[in-house]
Amino acid sequence: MISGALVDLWHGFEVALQPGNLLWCFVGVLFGNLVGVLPGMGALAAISLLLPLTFAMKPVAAILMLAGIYYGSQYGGAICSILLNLPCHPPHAVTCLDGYPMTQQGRGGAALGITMLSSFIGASFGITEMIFFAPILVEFAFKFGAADICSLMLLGLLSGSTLAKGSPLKGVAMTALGLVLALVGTDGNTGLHRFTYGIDQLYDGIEIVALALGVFGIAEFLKSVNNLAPINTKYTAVSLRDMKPTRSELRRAIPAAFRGTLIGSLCAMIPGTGPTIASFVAYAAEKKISKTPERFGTGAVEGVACPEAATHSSVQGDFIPTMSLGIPGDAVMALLLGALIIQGIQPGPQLVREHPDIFWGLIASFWVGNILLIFLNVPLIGLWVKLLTVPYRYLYPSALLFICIGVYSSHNDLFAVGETLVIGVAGFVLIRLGFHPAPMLLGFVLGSQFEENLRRALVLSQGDLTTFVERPISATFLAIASTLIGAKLFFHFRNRPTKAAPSPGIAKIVQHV
Amino acid sequence: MRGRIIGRDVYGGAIFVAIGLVILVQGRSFGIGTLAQVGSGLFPVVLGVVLIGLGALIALGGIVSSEIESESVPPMQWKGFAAIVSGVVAFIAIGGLFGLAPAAFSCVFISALGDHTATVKSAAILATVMTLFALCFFSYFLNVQFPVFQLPTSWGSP
Repeated sequence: MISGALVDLWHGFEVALQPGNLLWCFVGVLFGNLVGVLPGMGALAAISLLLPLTFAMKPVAAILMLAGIYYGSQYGGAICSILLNLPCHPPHAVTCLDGYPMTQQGRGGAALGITMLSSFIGASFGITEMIFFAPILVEFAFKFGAADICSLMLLGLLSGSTLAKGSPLKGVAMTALGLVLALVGTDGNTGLHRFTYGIDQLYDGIEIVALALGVFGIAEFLKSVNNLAPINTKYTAVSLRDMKPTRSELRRAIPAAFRGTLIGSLCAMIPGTGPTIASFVAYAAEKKISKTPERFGTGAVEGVACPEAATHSSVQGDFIPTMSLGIPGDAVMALLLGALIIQGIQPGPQLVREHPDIFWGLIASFWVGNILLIFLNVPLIGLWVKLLTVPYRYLYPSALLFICIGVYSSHNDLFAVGETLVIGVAGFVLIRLGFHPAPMLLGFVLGSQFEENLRRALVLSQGDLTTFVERPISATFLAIASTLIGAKLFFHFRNRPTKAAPSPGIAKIVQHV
Repeated sequence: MRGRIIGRDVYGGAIFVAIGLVILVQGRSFGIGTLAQVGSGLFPVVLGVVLIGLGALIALGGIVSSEIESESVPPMQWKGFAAIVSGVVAFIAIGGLFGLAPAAFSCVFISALGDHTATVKSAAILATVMTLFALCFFSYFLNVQFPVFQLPTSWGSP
């Protein structure tokens, strides 16, 4: 089993190191890093923006590039937190607590260096985990019947929707709305046009590009225009030499990074927790076991290393269910799967067997990409820092133009641009009402498969609903799902009367998240 | 302040109840079928019921709860909103009539005017630069099928 995985991994490296694929991985990492540091942009906006470009690409290159954008933007988000004290990227919010004080003391460069080291440790562990766990999970997943897949999807949808910020109830509502949007178009089973209102362009359903760019592009611009606080760039002069941590800093940071890695990979396995929660848990745990907890919040390196390692190992862990089961853990993963579906590749357990190039190439590219990131970040840090100061008034009109042309190019049709605008304005209204759009995308991507499997399960059981609780695998998933809901409800109501957060610093950050 | 935020959840819940009702009513017309032979309408009807239920809970929570949400709502920026929406509308309308170059220029120019520090001059410069970039990148490098210039012939089919 293990040697088999290593042979496959070797093949993966061959795929990832092909010049064409390597180039696209590099483009993705570079673009992700760039957009990650730009104010008011994030991984979701970056992936959505480049999604139209992937139509003309080979599937392997497309997925390598999109994944590269994702972890590239993770690094970018950390730069934002440490140098600017801006928690613009939720998983890195907690890094502000000690990263920014380090910046104020003139150790911002070292904090960035530690971040890179810790994220590399975290990511490497996560990748190793994926190499050995994913094939086992795949073997297991082949035993799944339609009812099991259905329950698993329900679990995935529920855990994804309660992950997002804000009230879990609203998250579930947005997921359900995503499922509704997936209904639009021609019903595969009966050929009936549902919710198309006689518009020809809707017969194929809503474009995922239009949906993603509407809610993560246009709606975000509508929210952020004239509302972004001016950026304090007082401490952003970081040179290459500053990035080398001192010996004592390294001695404290490396064990912390390993502890963070373990916490992150644990969090990746529990449904309903993801990188953001992992980073907060890691910070709290590190502070608790520290002999000098009073240093936390004043620039302790452990406070940077531990959560960053946790985030990255959890991020890699999220790829496991996405690639081996076809169940995305969050909106970013949903977009990646959406890109595969556009390429005509059905995600699911059969992916590893039918498209080993994609699966193992992706895994190998994680390492390649992470190494590329280090090479990019070390000499280019000065450039990234300059990018932080690009005013939003130049950014959003330019990005808006890319959105318009990108959406147009998906079908060479201006209708899609109008579709994006309508979705964007509607998304903006929902954002203002406190609904976050990320879970909607999750529902949208899984929607048609969910319905398909639900129908199949009912046909197989001849309309007997008890099939979902009588099959042991399905029953297990449903039990986990109800435990998850129970836990969320419990914590939601328990936290209500005591609004006091653990410490004022964290409370301030939590508000942003 | 408190009144406004409580109102927020009531509106939000009401929107979901309304969407749920539409889905429910239209879903019924698709034919529900039986559980053993599921029709096109069953899943929409179920989703409609779920949306109505969730919407009602959210709205109810908004009425009952006396808690003030910590998340503050930034002020509504009508100027920026109008500029961005008209920028995209201009792209669609001008793109369909005159082609990519005028569409790109007007899209960037109009949307850039939404920022409160923007001037006509700064917006025009940005629009010119971005149009040139878009032409190089999308038309020549990526070969996107969108005529650069054209005279209006028929609406919406460039």
